[in-house]
Amino acid sequence: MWIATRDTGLILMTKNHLRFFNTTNGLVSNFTHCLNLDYQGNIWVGTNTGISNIMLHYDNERNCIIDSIKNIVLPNLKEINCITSIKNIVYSGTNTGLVSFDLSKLGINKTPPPVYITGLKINNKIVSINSQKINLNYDENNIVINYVGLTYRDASNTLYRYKIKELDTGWIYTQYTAVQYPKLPPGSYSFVVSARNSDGVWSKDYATIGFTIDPPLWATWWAKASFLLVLVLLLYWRLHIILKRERIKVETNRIVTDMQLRELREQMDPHFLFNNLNTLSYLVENKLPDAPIFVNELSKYFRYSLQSRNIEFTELRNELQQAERYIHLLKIRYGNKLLVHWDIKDAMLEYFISNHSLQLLLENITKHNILSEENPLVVEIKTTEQSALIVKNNLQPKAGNEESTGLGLKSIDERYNLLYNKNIKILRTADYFYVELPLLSPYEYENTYN
Amino acid sequence: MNMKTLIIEDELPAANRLKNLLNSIDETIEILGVLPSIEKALDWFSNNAFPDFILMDIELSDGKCFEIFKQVKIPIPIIFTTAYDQYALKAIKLNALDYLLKPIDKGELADALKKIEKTAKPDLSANFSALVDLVNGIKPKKIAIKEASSTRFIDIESIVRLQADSNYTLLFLIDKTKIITPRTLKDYEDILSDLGFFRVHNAHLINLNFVEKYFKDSGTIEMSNGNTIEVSRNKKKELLLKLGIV
Repeated sequence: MWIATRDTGLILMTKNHLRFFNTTNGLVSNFTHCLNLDYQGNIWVGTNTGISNIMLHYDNERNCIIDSIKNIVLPNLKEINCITSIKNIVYSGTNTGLVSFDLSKLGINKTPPPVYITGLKINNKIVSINSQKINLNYDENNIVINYVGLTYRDASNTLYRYKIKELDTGWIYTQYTAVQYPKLPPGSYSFVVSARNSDGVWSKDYATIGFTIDPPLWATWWAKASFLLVLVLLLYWRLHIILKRERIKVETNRIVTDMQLRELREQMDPHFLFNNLNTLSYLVENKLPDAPIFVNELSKYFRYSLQSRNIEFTELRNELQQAERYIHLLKIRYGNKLLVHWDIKDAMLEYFISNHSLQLLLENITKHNILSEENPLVVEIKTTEQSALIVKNNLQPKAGNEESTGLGLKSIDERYNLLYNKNIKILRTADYFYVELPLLSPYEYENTYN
Repeated sequence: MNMKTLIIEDELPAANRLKNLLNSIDETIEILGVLPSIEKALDWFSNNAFPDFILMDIELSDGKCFEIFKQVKIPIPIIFTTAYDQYALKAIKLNALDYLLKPIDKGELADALKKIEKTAKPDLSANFSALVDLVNGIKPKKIAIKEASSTRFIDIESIVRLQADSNYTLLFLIDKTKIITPRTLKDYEDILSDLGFFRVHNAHLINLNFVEKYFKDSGTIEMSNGNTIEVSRNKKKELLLKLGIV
């Protein structure tokens, strides 16, 4: 049994079972006034807005199967209170009088509904659509798009599908004619929509609107690029400073070493000078034949000291000559308390050595060790096959002598290190003190010296 | 009179020269020996009686001569000799001891000998122990002032200020006593500048601990004993730095 209701559509009552038919099933309206079975067994439903024609059949177990629901909506077909059909002719009583139509002539609406974008609201303000491309700021991202599909029949049953190509993977179906995107992230978008009329025919073309939401200033590519550039510049600048500081450090180190060495070289060693003058007084007062030789040696010694002040590296020949003078002067004062053994290969004489280094070593050795007849200080000076000069002495340190600071040796080492990336070797045992000074071949001297 | 001496010197020419000089000044001086080292000197002192005076080189073959005083009390005058040893010289000056610089001048040696002849045997051991302290890095507490027949030791901390008076120097002490010494202010500046003293003026050396007031306008300072001292214009900045005002 079929029942037409005023607000819930149709109800089919079978033995113990109710089935509802309403707009969700395709009924034109839930406000049904009347129904009628035609000669084919199909149901005609009259509603407040039009007529629905439900085609159905019954299966073997007498279950009702709906084949299709076809809606007829016409401008003068409203508030249908009674309906009947004779063959193809349908008669209906409406609020405007009797309406009849020939079902066979009433074809389905095959016209695809054209679809248009009708309005655009950005941040709740209506914006006119002038161009196809709309540029928006990053904060203009609350967007409402209005659209409509034009159909001349049954407009309320127009179905729409839309999507933003860049965001949605599939179509979104709706009967509404507006869609809101409240918070679109920056990007380029194209919105497309199409409509379907109540007879299931889709629009031929899509309506489309494209718009671009600009990223905020700080997120634009050039902002990012500038940022990166600034970062790179900063890094470069920092690196530059670090390198500069490092250079300055090396340079300062060098200057300090320079100064220390120069100072040591320039020091006339007043103790040495005055002691020698005292000796000279003795030689002269006693008219000893050594006096002129002594004066000669002393002059040569100090002259060389003065002249070679600014030389960094010198030929071993020169350094040895100066050392010989120094030792000669010492021997006059100390006699056999000081013994020196030389073993120098001639080939090494043109090799280069840090200026004043041997001199400084000898000064240190004689200053810090006991010189006596019973325990003479023995110094060995020799060259090696490995291009080095060895200075070795027996250790007999003086009493109460403060430990040497080693400043002189350290600055010689720094000099070798800075200029030639070489080091001196220092070895101190219980019995002897041993220093190895690198000798540079003339080639090395020319090519590494900076 | 027949004086006996001992030469402690490690360089033979220097020792020979001393011998010659002594002989040429006074033939009667008897040289008991020449010792080149601390070790030899100690050995000698343990076996012999002290002579009348000693000529002693500071730098000996086995160390500085001050090592000797750690072992032996020497009750006789010593004339130190040195070529150039600023630190040791300061110590010697602080203790008002005699010294000669090499090459040794015959006239200076003769003067030193005369001074020794004149003085009756003084007990000098106190001087030497202060010397040893100083060489060992212990800050000296006293300064020796030579007087006619004795040596007076004054607490350095009790000196308020020193004032130049031609070749003499006046010492103003905290107890208001005043001492006249036959040394120049420059001498005192040399030995006291490391010990909290500062030369504020050509004629004034002050103990910074006793500065009471600094007058900016007149450029003078008032010492705690009430004396007002003039400050040289070119010493002003350094003084303020030392006082921690700038």
